[in-house]
Amino acid sequence: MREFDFLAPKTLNAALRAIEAGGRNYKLLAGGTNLIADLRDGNVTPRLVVDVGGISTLKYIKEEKGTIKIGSLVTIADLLNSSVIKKRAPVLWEAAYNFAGPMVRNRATVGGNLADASPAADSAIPLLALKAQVKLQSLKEQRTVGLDKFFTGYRKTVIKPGEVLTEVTFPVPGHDTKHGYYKLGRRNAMAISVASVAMMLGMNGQACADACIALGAVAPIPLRAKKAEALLVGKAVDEGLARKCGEVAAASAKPIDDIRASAEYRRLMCEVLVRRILSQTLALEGEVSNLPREGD
Amino acid sequence: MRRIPVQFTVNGREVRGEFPAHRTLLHALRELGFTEVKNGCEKGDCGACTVLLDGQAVNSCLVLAVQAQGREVTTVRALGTVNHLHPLQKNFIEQGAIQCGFCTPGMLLSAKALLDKNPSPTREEIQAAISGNLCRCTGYVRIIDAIEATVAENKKARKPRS
Repeated sequence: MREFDFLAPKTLNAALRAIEAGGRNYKLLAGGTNLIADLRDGNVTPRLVVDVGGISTLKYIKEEKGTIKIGSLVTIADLLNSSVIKKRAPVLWEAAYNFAGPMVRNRATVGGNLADASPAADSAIPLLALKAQVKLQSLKEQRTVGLDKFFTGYRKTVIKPGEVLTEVTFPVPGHDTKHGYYKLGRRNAMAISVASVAMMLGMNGQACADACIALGAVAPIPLRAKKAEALLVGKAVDEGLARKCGEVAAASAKPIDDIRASAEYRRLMCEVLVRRILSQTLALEGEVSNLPREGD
Repeated sequence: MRRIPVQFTVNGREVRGEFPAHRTLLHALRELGFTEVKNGCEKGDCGACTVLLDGQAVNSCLVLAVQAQGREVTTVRALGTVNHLHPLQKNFIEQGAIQCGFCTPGMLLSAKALLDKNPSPTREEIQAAISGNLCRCTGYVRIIDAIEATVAENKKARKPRS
């Protein structure tokens, strides 16, 4: 591992001042489950590492006026242990349940998982489906960015030098909202997704009033399948429409071949997962195959 | 190379060292003589380097030594001694849950972290709790059996005698 200078500020302000003074060649260290592995492999060679893990004001999960607010240093284990998340945002809870293994969940943070911007980032997919926004703070300003505008390329985000991701927020899903989530991996634990899908469906009786579909590991960034979503809005979804929706979602994917799967397989799985999740979530008839549920 | 003084406890004993910022807790512990902490993959995949940090199981290869400042580290050595085995250790031996032994320190600590939080886990919860620890010898069944046997003994011990 290459040498670097190290700072561990205890407040957000001190962290912002440290990175302002540190120029461009710095990295923020939160849970370290990605960064320390990257440092070791020489994928990143910062001159300065700023450990933000001691900033206690960024560790909270709360519900305020119809909005869930998650401090960026909340760990994946914190999400799993949160009754607010389990009750109000089960799609995010299920993703946390399927996230790596216990040791990684104890360290990895929500902010770190998003800022690392892997296309397979397990918290990004449900948060996209929940229409989350992230708060970015610098010494000069604070801005809010929709998560669908946050990822700009493979492991790239809109975060500018000097900014820290401080909070993730999303509206509490209504009672008439249904959700679906599935992560396809090579094994149950410690797997990096081959493909994953999270879905939120706002129902108005039999009709789908609002749809949000997020795709993981099938493009350079975690992706919203907006064309597929538009197909569903205002319609009573049947098997035919679910099938069409899967096809349109797969067409918006831009998968790659890698060690875990081929691009062709990923595209196919994207189609199948979207169709099956729709079918299972809305209890449509005619779908024979069942996705295993969480805990199976 | 700038070295940073770091002070923390390992198994209840205070240790001090001076480490460069890029030294991982895994390597720092091994330098300090805690070679029961095993170096496997060094990227958080295998769990051989598992320690408890303030009671929570973590991969010590993904923590910097300087991040342990003021904190409490537990290695497998805190569990028991040859003459006074921890119930988990005793059951790992009795059930034949050890072959090459390289994953065992991490397995035992993940099992301890589970039982500290949840004294009567189901078999599925045991499987989930050790899902970050790879074993290439045993096929896991006897490891899970050993943890289950410990849970059963603890239950028996907790039951008041009638």
